[in-house]
Amino acid sequence: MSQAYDEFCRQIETCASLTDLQAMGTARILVKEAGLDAKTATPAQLAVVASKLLARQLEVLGVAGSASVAAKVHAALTALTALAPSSAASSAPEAVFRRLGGTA
Amino acid sequence: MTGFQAFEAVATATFIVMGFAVGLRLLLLARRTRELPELTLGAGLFLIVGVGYPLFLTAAHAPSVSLGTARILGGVATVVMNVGWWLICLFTWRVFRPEERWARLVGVGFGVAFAAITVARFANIASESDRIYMFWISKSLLATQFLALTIYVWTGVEALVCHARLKRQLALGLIEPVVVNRVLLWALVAALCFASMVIGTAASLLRIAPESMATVRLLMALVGLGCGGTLYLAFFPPRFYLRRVAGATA
Repeated sequence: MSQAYDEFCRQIETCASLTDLQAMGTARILVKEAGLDAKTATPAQLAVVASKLLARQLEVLGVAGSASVAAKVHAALTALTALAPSSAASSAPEAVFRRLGGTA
Repeated sequence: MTGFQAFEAVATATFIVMGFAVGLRLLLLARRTRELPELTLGAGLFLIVGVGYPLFLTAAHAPSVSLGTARILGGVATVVMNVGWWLICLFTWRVFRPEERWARLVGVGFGVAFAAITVARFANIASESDRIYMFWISKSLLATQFLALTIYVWTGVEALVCHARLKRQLALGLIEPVVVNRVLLWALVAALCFASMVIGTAASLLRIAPESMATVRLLMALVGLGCGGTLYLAFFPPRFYLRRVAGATA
């Protein structure tokens, strides 16, 4: 798993007061729904997932204040992006096909 | 030259020129990035379409080429194309399934199979005196076509699965539309190459030489033209096409 994905799980667990298994399950569902790979997901990508998909998923789990929890996770991942800006891993298929077209 | 022959020549030339150009561009990219995917795909396209296919056509169909020269050209084309197909197999493995053990076995297995079939093709080319049996109707050629077909199926399926995943990224604005479209176009290239090989294999199994059947030649020319056009859109997309792709998802 990428460091960003591990941080995503940790933030969900902390901010939503979930168990580690619940947090990992939630993260796995969201990453799949977003078409990402947990091994190559970046902080920037997961910040988008947090802002667009997380609140709805937390509501399904009955987490109170899901919107504010999602905003906290988003903020944490955005901060991580600022500290270590990175594009998708160069080995991910999307990164390869971006390079092949000269749009890297 | 008849109108049909002119169309056939233009379609074949389009396919060869695009394969050559795209292969060369990706090889130059690989020299800069030092990354394996562009090296394997670039070298694969360059060898199969840009070098091997014209050599094969010359050896098999050019009446001015002597039998001895045809044997040499056919042998070189066999090596070049088989290495090219194996490189496409490596590209698919390393890009779509880099950590899967079964994919590694497939990659290594295809390398061994192509090496064995290359030896069989050499024996076939050296022993036959009729070019039809040397380059069109032979068991070793059928085995080669079967391996190439399998690689195109694998490549196409992996690209389609990847495209379905990237469409979900696109819905969230996580990826550029042109990248998603390029993966789809690559699946289409694989499908068209598959279709071309199926036509060739079917004609070979039915023991029909292509020069004796206009329908086979027309189908292969159309598929070649489509493949050349698809390679162009995928790797040299003109501005109007990029605008159209971006506009379709806006």
